Amino acid sequence: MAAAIRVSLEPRDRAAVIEPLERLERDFRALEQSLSPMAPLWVGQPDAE
Amino acid sequence: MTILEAGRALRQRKVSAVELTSQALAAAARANASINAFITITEEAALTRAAQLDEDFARGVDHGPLHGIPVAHKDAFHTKGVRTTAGAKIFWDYVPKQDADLVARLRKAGAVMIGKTNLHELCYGVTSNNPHFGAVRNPWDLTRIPGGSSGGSGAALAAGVVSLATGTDTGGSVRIPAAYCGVVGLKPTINRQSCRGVVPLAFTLDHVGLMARTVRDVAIAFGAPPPERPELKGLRLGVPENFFFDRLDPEVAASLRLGIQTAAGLGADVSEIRLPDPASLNTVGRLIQLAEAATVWKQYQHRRSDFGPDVYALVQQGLLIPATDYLNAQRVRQRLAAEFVKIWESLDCLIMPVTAIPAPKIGEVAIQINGIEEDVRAASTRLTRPFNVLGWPALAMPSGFSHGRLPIGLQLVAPRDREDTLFRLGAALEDSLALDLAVR
Repeated sequence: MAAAIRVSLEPRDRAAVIEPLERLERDFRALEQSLSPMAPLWVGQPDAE
Repeated sequence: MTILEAGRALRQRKVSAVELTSQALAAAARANASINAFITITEEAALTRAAQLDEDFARGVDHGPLHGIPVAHKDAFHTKGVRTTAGAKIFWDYVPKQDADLVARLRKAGAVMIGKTNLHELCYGVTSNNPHFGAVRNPWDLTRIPGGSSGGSGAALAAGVVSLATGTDTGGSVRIPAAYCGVVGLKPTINRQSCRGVVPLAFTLDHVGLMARTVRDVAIAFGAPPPERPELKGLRLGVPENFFFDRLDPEVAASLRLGIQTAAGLGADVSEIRLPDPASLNTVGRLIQLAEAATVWKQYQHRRSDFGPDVYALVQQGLLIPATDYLNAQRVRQRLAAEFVKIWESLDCLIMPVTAIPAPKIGEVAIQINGIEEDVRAASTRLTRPFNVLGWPALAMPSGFSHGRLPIGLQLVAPRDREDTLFRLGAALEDSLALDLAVR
């Protein structure tokens, strides 16, 4: 689906949509890689046990 | 007049609910021509409601500290029978059948709704430069933004139209306009106030908030006792040594130093603390917000021309985030929260700026801070968003002014469910700083 949306983006959207997202993705990858495969998914309060 | 003052005058029979409401309606009509804070003014319903409250009072029925107090609701709160646009063209004619929970609670407590306030489209931005209902203007300087997304609420308070307003806060949308407009804004603990009946932005980051001109008035609206003579002796106040004081406008930094010195002078035990990794909270918060907001607004994406370009671009960004990234962002969020919560073993409260800058000009996209260019959205949200991710209560309140007499805000943050600590410290600082917050 993402690919379909990416293709449907008009050239004017590249700066407004793709570039900020790519910057955010770069920041997020490092955090994601530090995540243990066994880390649970937050389902309640963010700092709840 | 503050809520406390109006309540006292009402109980001394010096003023009636109808008089308070008429004054607020007249002020709204007068101010709206310049600040565009209201999308809808509910004059007739407000006067009818106020007359009913005066009748109740005459019969000995007192609904409590908000009896007869005019309130302005952000136009993201559902109001029964009153158009609720969320600042969007797609909701131009939407009239809810029920009140949002907070609207109902304040009504039951005696508040009188005088209208619905303008906002950033769909609560998705910090400028309140609304493409459909016009830009909200900051009463301190009409060429500047009031902040957002609850910009109309902040502007209406600063202009003295009302002493109570509501807001929503997903990344700072109550606290940012509070800082830019020189008023007080509370983002309570996550889920402590019901979000039912509020137009959503991001399901796991949304908070419902309260705004007023004083800390004590916010406490009253929250349903807490206003601190009478707040005592700070023994309060362990932490000043973050990383992230929150980086890249600040020098006048914001100076104002915060004064706020910290004031707290120390009042007896707070001030210490520096290194926080785990606030920048990562912003990264996961932004990713979660993009994905959740796209989930909400995806159904309208075919109506491109009905969206402002900034909001449309954010929805498109959110649609491109893979489900795995969203889920991992929530897992990282939980890991970070487990690290951050440990700071409360040695502290009762944190103090820091709300925003890196005072209110920017309308239309300004980037701003220079100490010679480095930064996006206005980032400069406005990078110090507030972490506490939406953590869900901790946070209070924004005035700490001073820039040389150009623009308000500057400070932010107090407490552990989950300790809003009482925010009110205690906030009221003590407010009394001691004694700022003249009247717009002239």
